[in-house]
Amino acid sequence: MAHAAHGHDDHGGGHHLIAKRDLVVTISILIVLTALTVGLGLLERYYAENHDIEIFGPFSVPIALLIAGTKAYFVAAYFMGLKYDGGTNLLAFAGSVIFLVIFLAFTYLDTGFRDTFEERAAVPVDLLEANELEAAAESERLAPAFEAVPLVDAPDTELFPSASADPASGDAMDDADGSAPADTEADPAADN
Amino acid sequence: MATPSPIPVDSPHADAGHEGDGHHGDVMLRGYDGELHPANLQHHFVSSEQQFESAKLGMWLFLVTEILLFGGMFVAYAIYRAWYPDLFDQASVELDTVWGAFNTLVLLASSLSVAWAIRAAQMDNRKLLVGLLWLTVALAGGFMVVKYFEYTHKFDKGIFPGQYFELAEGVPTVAELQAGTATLEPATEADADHSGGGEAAAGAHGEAGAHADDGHGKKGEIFYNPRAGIFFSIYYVMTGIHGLHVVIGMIAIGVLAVKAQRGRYSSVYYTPVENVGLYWHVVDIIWIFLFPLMYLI
Repeated sequence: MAHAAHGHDDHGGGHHLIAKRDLVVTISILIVLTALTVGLGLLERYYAENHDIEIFGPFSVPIALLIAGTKAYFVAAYFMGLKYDGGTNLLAFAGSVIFLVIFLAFTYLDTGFRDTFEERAAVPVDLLEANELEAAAESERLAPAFEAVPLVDAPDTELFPSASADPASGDAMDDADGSAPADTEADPAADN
Repeated sequence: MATPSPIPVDSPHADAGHEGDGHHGDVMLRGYDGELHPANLQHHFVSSEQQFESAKLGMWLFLVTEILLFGGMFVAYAIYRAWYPDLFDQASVELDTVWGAFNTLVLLASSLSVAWAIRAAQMDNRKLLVGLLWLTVALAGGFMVVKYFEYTHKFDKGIFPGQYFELAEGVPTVAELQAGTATLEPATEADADHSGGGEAAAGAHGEAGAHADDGHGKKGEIFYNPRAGIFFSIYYVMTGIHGLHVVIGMIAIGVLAVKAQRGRYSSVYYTPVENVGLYWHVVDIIWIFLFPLMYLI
């Protein structure tokens, strides 16, 4: 650090004269971090598009925010001189960041879990509609498997060559023949 | 009452009763109390040092409100990103990473030049101070020029905020879906295979596999997402208000440069340079967060 300004920079005030070396090192770090975040972003996009691989997955946002936060630290600490100010200015800055985090966290606690407790009203209408359409298509696809076997209304002539094709004649036989299984499965029409 | 009369002094420290009194200004005034005071010192401050620190704290409090202003928009971004992650993936592809990265470097360079300008003011190097301030204005102008081309390029592609976003033909809007006048057709297997997924709601009107280019220049999955307008509302508002801050910063730094040319600032009084510099760094920090969130992920 160069302490050349007025020879009284021990008061922690705004008269810190930043060294040329500090400025150059800070901007170099910032440029390297920018290159890093761009490189990682392009790498992720390349793998997602060409190999269908999510190399960072859910961590891409935290990684980007971490790099951006580091860059913000260097700007605030050196370019803005917070490292030398300390005190009230740092308190104000830190306070704004803390309240921003509270703002974000509590809003997310509301909005992030709306569908968790069966509040379907929070689900956008077209997503509901898409789900219903999907369900309808699925049941249509499965419908043939569940189709009822058609009822036989005429006896098979190969098995019962003597049987009449007229279903009414069967009824007549049931009524005439007392040995018909009327005790197990009584014809409801006959009783009522 | 006698008007205070300027009394030039040879050394700014000549009248200092104690060490560390800070900056006095090049001109001393005789106050109503009959004592000599630095010309830049307002009567309600004990010393120039206190005046400088107070002004700086005031600037910091203003910057807190700026951080919270953008904070609200970042919260909106975070919530919509949590709701519609695919939308943000599709949309970030539409933003030109190279120009975004270039603009990031331009703003970082302008931050450096402002920080260096303050150093120049502290060292009484007026020529360097003026030069660096104008350089900062030029870099900020470069940023805005790139922004202009980015915006007009998007307008050409029909990328507008909210309901004005021009979706590909046949894709229903969210308003139509909610009114029930249009329905989404579920994506067929062929569609999903062809586009590599992530396009669940895009298979509208049987244009199977035609999404790559349907003849309307609508390349990209974002044009098949009815919610595209949400992302671009956030994008235009955030980058727009940031751009407004850049323009205001350009004006402020331009005024500083003109005043610096007239010799208004020196190592004993450079409070406006310091405070506008702080403002400019916050504009830079906001872009540091905007760039990766919008362009990269």
